[in-house]
Amino acid sequence: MAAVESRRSQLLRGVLDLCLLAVMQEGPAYGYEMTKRLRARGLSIVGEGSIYPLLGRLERDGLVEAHRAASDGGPPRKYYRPSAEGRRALAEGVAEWRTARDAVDAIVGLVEAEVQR
Amino acid sequence: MSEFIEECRREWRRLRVPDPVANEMAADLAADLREAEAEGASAEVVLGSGAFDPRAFAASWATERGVMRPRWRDRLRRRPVLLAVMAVLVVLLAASAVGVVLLTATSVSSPRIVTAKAAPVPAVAASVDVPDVLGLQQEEALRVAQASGFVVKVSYRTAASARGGIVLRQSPAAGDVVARGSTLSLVVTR
Repeated sequence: MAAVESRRSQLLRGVLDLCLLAVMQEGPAYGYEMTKRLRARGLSIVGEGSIYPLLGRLERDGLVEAHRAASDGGPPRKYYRPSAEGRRALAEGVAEWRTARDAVDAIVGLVEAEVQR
Repeated sequence: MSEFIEECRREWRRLRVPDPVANEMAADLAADLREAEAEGASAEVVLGSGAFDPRAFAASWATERGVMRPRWRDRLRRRPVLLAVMAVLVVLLAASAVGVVLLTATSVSSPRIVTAKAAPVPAVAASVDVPDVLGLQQEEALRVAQASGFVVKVSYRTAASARGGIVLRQSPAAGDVVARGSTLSLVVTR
């Protein structure tokens, strides 16, 4: 493992659980389906950690509920969706993310403007 | 792909993940990898960098999900009450052994015949891990749960998207530690 984790990995690690809760909030999803929803928005986990351990942790912490159901023409899959507690965690996490993002934007946004000038 | 899953299974066996849970994780993984393959996506798209290290991937999944069966010494470290109960049992056992020796000695010096009985010591663990029975057929789920000493309560629900007789929900959740003989409530598809 590299001694210094890339910035992208660190950022992703801080928000991937929120991203998973957010995409399963849109509709119950199984593992790979969530990966595809993330990819469709431009977030690839190639080169990053897997989502499965994270799903396992969300399940253990009671933030998601899982049920098994047939998928379209495929084998039965384990579908996840946020529990009531998960929806609360998502709302709080998103608020935290927006506060942090706005503060960082307020700082680095100026840097970018100066570079462009 | 199947080689990757086999590696995961070996790691789960090594970590003493209960078979039904390992089977479920392996089946979910296989289904996801098959779907990705059919779409022309690599295993890395599904697994991230986990694709290159099945053992580490399998271990972190099992750890985060909390489905590894802890070894006895870890259990004892985590649960001082259990340790205390076991210490008391050991002391009782030792005391009754001493009693047998003393009584035997007495019976040698006197003509009376004395029969000494050691107190029976309960040996069954007081708490059990809740097995993961989600997605199992009802009969299989009952077998697994009853083998761990659970009283099983089943309710039925119609689910348009699933076959009948499959466990949709369980309470308490897999991996929880509860008293032996607790009730495990299942929701099964009609």
